[in-house]
Order: sequence, then C-alpha cells, then structure tokens
Amino acid sequence: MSPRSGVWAVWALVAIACDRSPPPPVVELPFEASTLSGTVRASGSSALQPLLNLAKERFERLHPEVNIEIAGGGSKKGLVDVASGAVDLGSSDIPAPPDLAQRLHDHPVAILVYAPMAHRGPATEGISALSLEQLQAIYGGQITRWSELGGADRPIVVINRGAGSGTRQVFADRVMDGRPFVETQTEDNSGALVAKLIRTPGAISYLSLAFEAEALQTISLRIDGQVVSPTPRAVRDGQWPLTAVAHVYTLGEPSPLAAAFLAFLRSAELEAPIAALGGFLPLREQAQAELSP
Amino acid sequence: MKAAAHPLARGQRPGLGQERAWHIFLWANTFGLGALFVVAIASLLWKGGAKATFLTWYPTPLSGAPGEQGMRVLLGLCFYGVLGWGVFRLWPGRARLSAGRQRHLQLALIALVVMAALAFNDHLPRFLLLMPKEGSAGGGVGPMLWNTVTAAVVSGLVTLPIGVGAALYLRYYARPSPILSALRVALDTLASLPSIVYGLFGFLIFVVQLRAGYSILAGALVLGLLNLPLVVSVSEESLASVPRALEEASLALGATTAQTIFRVSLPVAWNGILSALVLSTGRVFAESAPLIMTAGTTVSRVQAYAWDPSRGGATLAVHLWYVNNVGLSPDRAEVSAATAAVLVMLIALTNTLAERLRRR
Amino acid sequence: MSAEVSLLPVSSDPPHRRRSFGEPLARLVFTFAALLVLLSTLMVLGFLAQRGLIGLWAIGPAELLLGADWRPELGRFGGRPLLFGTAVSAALALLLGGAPAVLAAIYSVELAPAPARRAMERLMALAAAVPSVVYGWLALVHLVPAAAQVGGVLYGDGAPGGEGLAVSGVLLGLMIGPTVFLLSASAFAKVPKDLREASLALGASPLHGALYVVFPAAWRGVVGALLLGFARAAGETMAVQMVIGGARQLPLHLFTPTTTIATQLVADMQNARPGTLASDALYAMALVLLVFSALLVVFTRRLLLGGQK
Repeated sequence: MSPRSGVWAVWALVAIACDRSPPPPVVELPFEASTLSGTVRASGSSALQPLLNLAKERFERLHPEVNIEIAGGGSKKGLVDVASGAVDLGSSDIPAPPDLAQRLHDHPVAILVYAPMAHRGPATEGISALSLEQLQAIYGGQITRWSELGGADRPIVVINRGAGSGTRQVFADRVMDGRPFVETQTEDNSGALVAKLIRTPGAISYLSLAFEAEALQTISLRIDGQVVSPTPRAVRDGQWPLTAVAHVYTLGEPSPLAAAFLAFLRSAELEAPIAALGGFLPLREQAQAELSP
Repeated sequence: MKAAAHPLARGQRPGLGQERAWHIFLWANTFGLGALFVVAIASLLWKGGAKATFLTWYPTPLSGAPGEQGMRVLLGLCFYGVLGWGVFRLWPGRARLSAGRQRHLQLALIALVVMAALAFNDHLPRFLLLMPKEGSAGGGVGPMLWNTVTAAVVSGLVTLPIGVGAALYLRYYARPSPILSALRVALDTLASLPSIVYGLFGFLIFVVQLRAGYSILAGALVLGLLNLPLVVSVSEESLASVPRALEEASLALGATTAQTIFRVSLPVAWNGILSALVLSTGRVFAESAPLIMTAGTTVSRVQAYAWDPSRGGATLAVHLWYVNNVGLSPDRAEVSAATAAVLVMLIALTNTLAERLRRR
Repeated sequence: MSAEVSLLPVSSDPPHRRRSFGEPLARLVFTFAALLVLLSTLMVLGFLAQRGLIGLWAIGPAELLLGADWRPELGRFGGRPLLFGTAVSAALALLLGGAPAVLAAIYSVELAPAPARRAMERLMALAAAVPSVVYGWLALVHLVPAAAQVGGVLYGDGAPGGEGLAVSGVLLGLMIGPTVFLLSASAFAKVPKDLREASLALGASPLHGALYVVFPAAWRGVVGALLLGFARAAGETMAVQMVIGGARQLPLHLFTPTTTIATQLVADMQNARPGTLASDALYAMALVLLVFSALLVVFTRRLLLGGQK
C-alpha cells in the first residue's frame, strides 16, 4: 500500500465517520391551506433586518408557498433597489428623498431604537453614559482617548457606518447636528459591525438596540445632567433621541402578496414578538408621538 | 541540471560560503512559501472539513422546497460517486484482478453508488442539505451549491460555443486584417479587466438598464464573458497542437476545411478544450465580486432548487462573503470554515480534472 | 504572429467550397463567434466609458486623480486616497508575495529535485485557484488580529484595529504569489538547455548558472509575471474589502484603515442612484482602473513579444 493510498484511506474513513448530532426540528405547518404564493424580495437597512427576518419566518410558516428574500446592504441601497425595480420592498431608516418620494409608497412599520455601543473591556470600564457633546467630540475627532471620558488611557477606535447607511444619517441628524464626521473606518452592515466591535478593544460605534450583546457595552446618554437609558419608556416619552421610523417602500402600489406581507408586518399578532427583539417598538403605540421630523 | 558537477564547481574556491548561504536562503524561501499554503489549506480543511464531509446518523428532514429531493439524489450521486471512485482507484488489491474482474467491480460499485444515492441521500452531510439561516445558527449551503452549479452550467453554455468558435476562426479562417488585430486587442483587453469591472458592466446592463433585477442568468452571462479569453486562448493552443500532418492528410483526401475541423482537428484537440471549460468552471466557483453585483446575495426559498436561471441567488463564494459581512448568524465562524472547505474541495476537484484532461 | 496562424488557405480552395454547403455555413458561424467576442468587448468598454466619461467630465480629471477628499455624500470626489491605497497595497503585494514567488520559482525549476518541483507546481496551481474570498476570510480571522498586535508594538496606540495596508498587502501577496510563481516558473523552464550546459561547462555551479545565466535569460517573463500579478492585486475587490477598513482617507502608516478603488466601487455602487454624479464618479473611477490594467497588460504583452523576436 503506497503512502498516497494510505492518505486516501484515512480520508475515506474520516468521511465515513458519522456526525451523530440530532437533526434540526421539523417546522410544523398549519393545516389550513393558504392561497398566497410567490416571492417577495426585499433589501435595504441592516438595522431592520432582525425585524424583517422575524416577520419572514412567521409569514412563511403561515403561507408555505410564499418566499420572502431579505438582504441587507444599507438604507440607501434599499431605496435605490426598490426605485429601480430590483426588489419589491426597500427598507430604510430614513424617509425617501423628495425626487423618489413621488414614485414610492411609504409603509412605516415600527420605531427603530439605536444606541451607541462600545467594546466591553478594560478601556471602557466604568463608562456607561456619555453626553451628546462628548459623542459629538468623539465622532468629530476632538476626543481621541478614553481617558478624556473617564476610562483607561487607551485610544478610541471610532467606527462609523458606511455612506449608504440610514443609521448614519439618523446619527448625523440627532447627535452631530450637521457637524462633519471625522473620517474613520466604516462598516456597511450591522452584522459585520457587531463582529468588529467585539474584536477590537476600545472601539465604539452606534447601532440598532436589537444587536445588544453580552460582549458589547451599551452606552446611555447624559441629557441635561440626567442619565437616560434606551428603555421603551424613555423612547415613548421622547427622552431618548436616537430613534427613527422604520420605512418599507414599494414602487407604486404593492402587489397583493407584498401588501399581505406589509399588513402582517403591522398586525397586532406581531407586536409582542417585535417588542421582544429589543430594538423596535410597534408603531401603533407610537401613533400619537411625533417622531419623524 | 543534474549534470555531474564539474570539479571546479565542487572544489574549494572563494565565494563558496556565500553560495551556501544563497542556497539555504533560496531553499528556505521556497519551502516557506509552500508550507504557508499547505498550512493554510490544511487548516481550512481541518476546521470546516468535518462539517462538510461527515455523513449523519440521523436523517435530515426536508425543508419543503420544491425539487429538494431531486437535488439530494444528485448530490448523493456526486458524493458517493467520489467516495466509490476513490475506493476503487486506491484499493491496493485492484491490480491483482484481471481486466474483466475490474470491469465487474466497477459495475458493482456504480450500482452501489446509485443505490446509496437513492436510499441514503438524507444522511449526507447536513451542511450540504440545509437552507442557509439569516439570523440564527445552524444554517447550511444547500441552495448555494445548486446556484453554483446553475451558474457554472449556464456560463459554460455561453463560453464554450463562442470561445471555441472564435478560436476556430482565429486558427483556420482569419487572415491578417484590421478586424483580426482588433480581435486580438479585444481578447487582451478582456483578459486584463479586473473582475469588478465585469461586475459593474453586468450591473449596468441587467440591473439598471434592463431592470431585470438580480439573477443567476445575468451573473452567468457576465462570468461567461470573463472566461472568454481563457477559453479562446487554451482552445487555440490545443488546436495548434493538433499535428499538421493529420489536417493536411484530411485536406489531401478532399475534405473541406469545415469537414477537417469537425472530423479531425476538434476530436484531437477536444481534451484540451474540455480542460479550458473545466478551468473556467473553477473560476465561476471562485468569483465573487461580479456575482454580488449581478446575481445578488440572497436565496429564494420556493425557487431554491429550481431550474429557472432567472432566479436571484448567491453562490458558495458569495455566501462566504455575505456571512462575514452582512449576515447576522451567530455561528458565522463555523459556517465560513465549512463553506471555505467545500469551495477548496471543489476547486481541487476541478484542478485535478483539468490536469488529467490536459495530460491525456 | 497572426500571419502564420491561418493554416489553411481557404480562399484558394474553390472546388470544395462549391461542392459543400457546410463550408460557408461553418465559416459564417465561426466568424460570427469571433465578431461576438469583438462586439461584447466593445459593449463593455462602451457602456463603462460612456458613464465614466460623463463623471470624468463633470468632476475634472485633476480633481478625480489628485483631490485628497473622497466623500460622495458631500459632493467631493478626490480620488487620491483610493489611488494611493490601490497602488501601495499592490506594490506591497509585489514585495511580499511576488519577489519570494520568483525566487521560489527559480529554486524549484533550477535547483530542486524533480519531484519537489512537481509537488510545488501542483500546490501553486491549487493555491492560485482558491477563491479570493477564502483568502480574504482567512486574513480577516488570522491576519487582522495579528496586525493589531504588530501595529500595537510599532505604533503603540496608533494601530488598535489592525485593518489597513499591511494586512491587505500581505493578503494580496498571498493571492498573487502562486500566479507569479507559475508564470515565472514557465519562463525559467523555457530557457534553452544549451545556456545552462554552457554555464556548467565553464565551471559555474548550478546556483551560479541559475542566478547569472537563467535568470537574465528569462527576465522578460519574470517582469511580465510580476506585472500581471500587480494588475491582479490592483483589481482585487472582495477580499481586500474584508480587511482594509473602508476609511476614505490617506493612511498615516501601514496599520491605518484606508480604501482602494475596487473596494470603494463595490461599497458605494449599490447605494448610488444610477444617473447621479455619485454613480458616474464611480464609473469614472472604474474607467481609471480599467485603463490602468489594460495599459499594464498591453505593455506586458509587448515586452514578452519583444523577447520572441
């Protein structure tokens, strides 16, 4: 037996060896037949992805013939894609620009809540709240070390969102107030951003509260000397400034299937699960609050 | 270079120490480069190989997407086929059997593979069967495998006739003319373009101008274009290696050029042309940037295993990028490792196949 | 070269053509395939040049190539950071991947035993075909944390993330190494045997022959391999996008996040509305990349053809 065939024999043995993990559970399908079928394609805001994924899983379970595809990419990509007809639904944290708004139909689905988050580690030890001025200085490039904020003597690694991000737009409006960002590294999507924040000591960024994690330090805001945490109550009372209306756009009137999905997104049965995600508030509770400018 | 060393070359002379140092430096450099890639590829296979190759004890339930059963049988044929082929080739006792016995053994193995593919296709590695998961752990790459195959087949269908046709034109029909030199320049230009430029072109044509949305068809057409220079040059080379005497004999017997091409040149050069096709398939497996811009990054659940190439869909390479940059799944490290392992195994397979075809 | 390519004098072959219907048809089909290749090239160049020239015209070549500030959302289209990132990471790749690959090629072709050479060539052929995203992912998982450590040692607090030109240079070096190895190994293998034997006969050692005889004889092939490697490194997209950090600024040092043309193209293109200046500026940048790599390849080809005369 040549050494080559020995290697192959070992490999074949490895391949025949079994993976004895139990299979994933079978999804129980409902008994009543659904009349809906077809595909809805969506792209856009990565902050909205958890919400849309949740709705997609439940909607597909109700209607086995329906297929919802959800891609990230950023709010501006969502707007561009839906306007060009590449997708059926374009999700966005920001309202469509006026030239597109005429052609697009707006379907607000929820309130998005964002928060600044930092790498949890020695550098950010003890920093649980920052004032808006401090955030402005961090993102404007005036404050570059955690020691200036009461933390350890480590540099602040500022991570911004990509130019196509709606979250960036919201942050620019609510926190930066039109001041320019210092140019730093960027991350286009929330998923990769979370990974980068967990990986990089001393890093700070801002993202949807739905991505809150053990390894990340969520930072509250100090407003008029008072610490405000991103609790549902603070959002409802209008004290937490980092919120936006999550829009889903269609080009003209939505197709019957897309309309059914949009109705499902805003239905009462989805309110509790959406609230449980953490970063979203159902829109209905908020109907009276004036959150969009 | 194994010539008997000249006495002067071995003897003591000034500079020998320096020469030794050079020798050691070059050796270390070469060995280091090789070892780097061996370690990189081996670590990939080690980390992701189990997930991508281990059969499962418990059957994996169907997700309910149409066509999934057929896809599993197909995958089973490939998987068990490679396994059976490996056993047949590497079984040391094979050489002792007579040719007839070997043939019988082959037939028996083929029957065994077909039976295994029909009966045990739900015990294939779970990672290769499951749907990808967007926000939770435990997703697979079943639809990505099928999308990759679709893209490879469609782009092959585009590249092969056009590429071989152009190669035949260049070899047998072209006469020096402005068009010929323009064609040469065009092929050089196509070969030089970075793949992202192809992606932009496809995006501009299919997504922006035609408003066709993201589709595997668009991605495959763009990749077909990207592969054209490769297919043309390799086909031309293998046509050039057809013995001139054969072609001249055919012409002398009264055959036309076309008859000579189809009866003599193409059959002789066919293996080389096929190796070009296999190499270009490998590039379809590997490319990501043009596909992200034209075929999209998602997978459709209903059409996951459809024949229709106008569905949008991510290939394996695109999925590897997507999982790390856009996806939200918590087990992205394991999914990436397994996807990378599958990709490397596929590439190794195409490379070996191309090599064999070329040598035959 | 084209003159001896047309093997069979078709025009002086009238009797067969009259007899057969297949002949003109075959000729037509093959010519059509060739024209299709020509046409599709023209389409690629035409479409990209159309959008790109609009962008170039609106922004101005000086600003696009030399301006220091690329922020499309503010209407600033200075391409210097992008060009700088592309050029430096590709140059680093040549240094870190190209040069060792050439040396490894000359060692395995000239000095190593034949089985070692064959093994090396097969390994490199496999490594050259491994998808770029696989390398990108490996670099993201292994090289970025390592670079954060190295940067921390070199620059203290100035390099905490690890993303930047150093990682992308090493990554691109890894990616072009196998290609450069294969191309230069074939260039060395093409050097006539007489030269080596003459050098041995004059009393030179195989190493001396390799470095002073074979290497100079094959320099065109080596330079061609390196230039193609450079072009490939400059055009690489997704792998670099995973590790370079995506900051649209000129880097302070090798461990500062920055960007390249190709990564900026793929990051911004999907957000840019077609027809706007932001989109046209990206096409103009793509045009710059296209012209650059086409020039590089044409130059390489002329260099190699010059060697054949």
